[in-house]
Amino acid sequence: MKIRHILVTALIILGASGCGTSKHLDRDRVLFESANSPIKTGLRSFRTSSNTFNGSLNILYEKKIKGVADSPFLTFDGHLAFYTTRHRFLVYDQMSGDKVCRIKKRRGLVLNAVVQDSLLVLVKRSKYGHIQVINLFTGKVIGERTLIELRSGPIIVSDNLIYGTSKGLLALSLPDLQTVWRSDSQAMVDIEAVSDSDIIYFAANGTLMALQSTDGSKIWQTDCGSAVVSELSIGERIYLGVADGRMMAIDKEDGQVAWDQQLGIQAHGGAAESDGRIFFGGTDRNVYCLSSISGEEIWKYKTDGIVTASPLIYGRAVLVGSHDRHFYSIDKTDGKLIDRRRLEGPITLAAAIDNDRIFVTCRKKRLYCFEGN
Amino acid sequence: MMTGLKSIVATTGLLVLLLLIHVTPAFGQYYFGKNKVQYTDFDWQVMTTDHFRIYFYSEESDLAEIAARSAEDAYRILSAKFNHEIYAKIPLIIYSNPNHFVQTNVTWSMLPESVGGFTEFIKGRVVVPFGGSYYHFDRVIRHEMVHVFMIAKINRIGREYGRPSAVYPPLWFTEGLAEFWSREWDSEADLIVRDMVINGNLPSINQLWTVHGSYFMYKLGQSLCEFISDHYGENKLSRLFDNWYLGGKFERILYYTLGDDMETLSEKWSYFLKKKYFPEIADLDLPDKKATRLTKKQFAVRPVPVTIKDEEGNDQQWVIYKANKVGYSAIYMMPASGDSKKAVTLLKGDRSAKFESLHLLTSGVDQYDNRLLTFSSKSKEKDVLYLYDLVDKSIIRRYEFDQLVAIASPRFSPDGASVVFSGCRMSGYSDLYVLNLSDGGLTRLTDDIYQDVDPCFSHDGQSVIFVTDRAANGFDGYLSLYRLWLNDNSIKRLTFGPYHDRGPDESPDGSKIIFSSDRGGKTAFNIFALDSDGNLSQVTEYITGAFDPRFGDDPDHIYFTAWQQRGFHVFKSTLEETSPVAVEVPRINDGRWLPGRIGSKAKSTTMKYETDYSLDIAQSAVAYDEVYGTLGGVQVAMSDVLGDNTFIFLVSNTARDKSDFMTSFNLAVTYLRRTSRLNWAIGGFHLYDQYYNKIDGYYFERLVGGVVSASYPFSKFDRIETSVFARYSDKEVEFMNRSRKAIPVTHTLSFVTDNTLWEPTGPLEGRRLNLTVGYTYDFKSERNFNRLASADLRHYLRLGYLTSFASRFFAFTSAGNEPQRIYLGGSWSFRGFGRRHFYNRNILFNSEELRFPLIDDLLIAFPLGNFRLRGIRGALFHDLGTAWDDDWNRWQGSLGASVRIALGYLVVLRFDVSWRHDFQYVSKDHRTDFFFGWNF
Repeated sequence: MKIRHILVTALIILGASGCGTSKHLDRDRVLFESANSPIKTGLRSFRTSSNTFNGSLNILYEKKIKGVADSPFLTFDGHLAFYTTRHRFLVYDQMSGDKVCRIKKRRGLVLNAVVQDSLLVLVKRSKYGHIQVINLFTGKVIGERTLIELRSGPIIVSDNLIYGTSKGLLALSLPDLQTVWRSDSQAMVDIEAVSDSDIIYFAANGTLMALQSTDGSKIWQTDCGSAVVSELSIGERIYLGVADGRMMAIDKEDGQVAWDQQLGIQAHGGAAESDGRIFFGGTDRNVYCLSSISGEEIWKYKTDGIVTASPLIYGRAVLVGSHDRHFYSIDKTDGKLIDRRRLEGPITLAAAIDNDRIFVTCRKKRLYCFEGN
Repeated sequence: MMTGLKSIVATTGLLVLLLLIHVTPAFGQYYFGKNKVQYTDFDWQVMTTDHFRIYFYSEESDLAEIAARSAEDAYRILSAKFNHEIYAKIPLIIYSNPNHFVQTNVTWSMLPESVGGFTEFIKGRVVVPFGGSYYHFDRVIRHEMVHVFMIAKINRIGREYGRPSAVYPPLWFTEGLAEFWSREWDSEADLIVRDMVINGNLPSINQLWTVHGSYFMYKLGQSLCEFISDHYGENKLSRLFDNWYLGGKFERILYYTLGDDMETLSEKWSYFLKKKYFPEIADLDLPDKKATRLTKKQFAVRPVPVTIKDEEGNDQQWVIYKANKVGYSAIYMMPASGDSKKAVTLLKGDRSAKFESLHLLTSGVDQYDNRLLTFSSKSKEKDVLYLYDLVDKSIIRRYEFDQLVAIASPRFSPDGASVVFSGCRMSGYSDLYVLNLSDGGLTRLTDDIYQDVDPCFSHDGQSVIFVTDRAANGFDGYLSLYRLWLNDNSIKRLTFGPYHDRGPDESPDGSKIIFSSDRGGKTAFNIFALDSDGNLSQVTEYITGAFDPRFGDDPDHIYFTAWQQRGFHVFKSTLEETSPVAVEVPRINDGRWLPGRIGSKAKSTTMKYETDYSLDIAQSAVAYDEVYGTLGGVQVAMSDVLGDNTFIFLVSNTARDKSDFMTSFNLAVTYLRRTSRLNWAIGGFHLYDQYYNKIDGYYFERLVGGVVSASYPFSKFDRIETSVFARYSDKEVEFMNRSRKAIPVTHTLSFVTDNTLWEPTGPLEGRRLNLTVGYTYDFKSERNFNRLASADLRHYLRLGYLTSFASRFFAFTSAGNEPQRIYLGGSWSFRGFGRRHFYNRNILFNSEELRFPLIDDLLIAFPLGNFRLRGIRGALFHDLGTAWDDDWNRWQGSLGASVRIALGYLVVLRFDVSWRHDFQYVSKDHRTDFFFGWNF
């Protein structure tokens, strides 16, 4: 019996148990599950959680996983899914931390993965970029295309798959992967685009652009003055870090610079927004809290390693991992340390929250689960 | 004859044997080789900080704290750039001056003077000397840290993604990035690149191999990295390493990251540089368009005019200068008319213990009264100051100072009674000193932490003008001119602004001081003049650079060094002043600065160094042979952080079946100690294997014993070695079915000298000699086992830049009950004959060889790709030899031709075609040999 069949069977069973009689992943549920963590579903949401999490990191389990996780977690139906540095796309059970299944590599290294509805989109790299669209329940490859010049993404917006190239953005229809539109930005798009409603925002070197997702027409573009180095984060505005050490907030509607703060550091991860503040990590080992309205620094907390993971806001805590091998829970109000846990290796990816649990991985092939309530 | 597989293990055993017997050649790079001499007894300490273990000796404890601060700063900056943390403490070893640095055992290689620091890849050790400037020290540490992070990041990516981490970037990128991320683009970098662009010598990226390993490569690499950062995005260089998991070739990763392939990148970069530099030539000139160029080849620096009487007694103007024409440095003198054919070599450097290094780029020379020349040179442990008679062409006096390790740029006083120079103590601090020539008394003029260099007396001898970084902007490496009055040691600043002012000289009438500086606005170094009123004017406006100006006897003429066409050359010009230059407003409170030091919180402990060993290399091999069965072995080498102590272990097994297994272990342990000038080693072994020679045929021999050896270097070039090798030998000769047991103890004594200059395929110039005598006594039979004597002399006569005539004379004799025999024949010795054609106890051999360059760059285009070979050399040779045991054998000869190709620095492939002759006829049959190995 092939692994695909096992996967299909397992997912059907799990899907049935989680979703009643439906055999498909509930679209709303997928989005809702993903809303609390910065995972690649084409939508980033930074809604404040109403959870009463007090910040204490009580560990529920630590498990060894099959490979170094190379993507933030995708959560659905009580599962965690991610791809690793060794060509595997893995699905783990949230409650037990046990591996449920593995999608074998077909060709090449997995660069990125997106899940929406019942579709799993894998971006692979053999000689060129290669995209596969796999039906999670049948296990069949329903779309496949070799892509030259693939550099970032993809994300899914309005049933289109959008990814960055060495010259701009390209949109493909799902699931047949036909070209819908192409946008030329004159520079490489190697940072994943983000979207809000039907608008796509992306950075090409030092320029931030907004496009209509349906046809790729330009809405606005803004010169950031320096290459964008961080992930793009969407909240009330678009937040990004640039190479010359500034953090910027750009208005989503018209691309105007809302504020621009010279911090003298680079932020490589994304930012999280909550209650008029944004939180992000810097290469100077600090976790920063700035006013999302003015950009003024409210507090910063010093760790012992560079911080490239995107923080997560949960209850009163900012949850973020550092290269110093610690996972921190910091009070979002005043920047005081609530708790921290030493993990096996450096933490480079954002944590995920699902079912009142906090999931973190580190570069030493470990999965950690903390109590979230 | 041993089969290939068995020979691997046997060779391993033999290697161990050779290692044990000739373990002292490991000090001197096997049989010949120069010596790395530990002149100084260092009292090593270790300081631990957040990310480093810093190894320093007690005299440089101040410097250690400064180094620690620089290292932690570098770590903080680079961990952000590389997105990577290093969890193990990084070993950083510092030396207070270059003369100590070259003694380091961290690397077995001889370190040329141009090496400013290095990172050793196996254990990640960083070794850096202090050269007097804190700014440069900080930048060198950061440069080396880039290498550390690069290796760590690539290895981590390789581990995590299962990609081979052996795919490292090309050297131009490795060094270019290290330069780019450790220092700003400065005048010196501009000088190199500007000259190349203006003169049409800028290589494309694919042609960077032509400058591989040179300073040009560093600066071109830096320029490329800066271009990538400016035009593709500042984050692209960091992203390159994040994309390393893509694997494959560097070109592929670069293309994926930048979106342009190597060729496109090269074109864009080249075009950018042309747009940048070409317009400058409208306003500026090349040196040889405005001045008279006196030297033509290689590079020549630090000219000093002198008047010499010719045969008729007329005064002729000559110029003395330092140069490196053919790989060795030397001091030359030539007519100021530029007639290079009349150039005279005053002194040769790099070939003897007296003049180990003439410090071409860091120290000048001076003359007095057209009769005396003064200069400094490294002589064994320290620098020595010499006085040289220009008439007799000989050294007349030598000054060495206990407290000074390095001496630079001596200058005579106007009355010739004293010499001022820059001296460096063991602490690393450089200060000014005055030497009274009559009584040898030494007076220190400055005593502080700042770098004080390039001193010269004023025209009246009342003061000394010098270069220093003591001004407030010295923290950023800027240098200014100061004047120190000798009567009260007061100091006054002469030049101001964020520039690098160097090499001052005052006119005989005291009306002006000329010096070189990059204050001209285009970042090129040019010559400026400062008059006694403080007015500044620019003397030269060259597009490349001019340095070290000196007044001639005629105050309207100056001599200087200028950069042109990828080299330094000596020029002569009249003193034409251009428009005045705006003088920087002197700062009112031009305060002192202090180099940053590590804080007490960040510095956890300092303790005396205790030997801590770690693995250098561990390798194993397993082979199976249908005749000899399974063969295998493990070699492990361990050494301490400083490389002073090394253990080598070997385990292998040569059993043919199970019954032999326990008795067929080959075990060897050797300990090498190189902490002091006398290097010694001790080892023990058990070896058992089957061997073959022409006399005994196949035989088994078990050897159990030990060896003690020692090597004492007299200098970098000469040493004496001795060893005592005692073993129990149980030999069973298969064919004759006889066995022999013995307890031979061998004592050897050798004298070795080597001052050769090398090119990739072998020695090019110089001479090497190995004289060895040995005596073996058998304690079991109580009789003379054997005695031997050998002499191996090799001489290399330079005929051209890459052409030389090499001669070898070799004699060997051995006698006794079991005389030693050696093989002669093959590509490494007697060509025209097989590798083991001769096996005798008496040998006379001569080889004469003409070596020349053949093909510089050979590109063969195949349908599926290109194949490139570089640096192909040719040779014509004649070999002459005889070998005999008891009865003299006639002389035999061979002649032929050879082609050699160096593959990197490790392997030279050789292809020989030879014909034997008997001095009457040449054989019609020829022999071809395809082998490996350096030229003799």
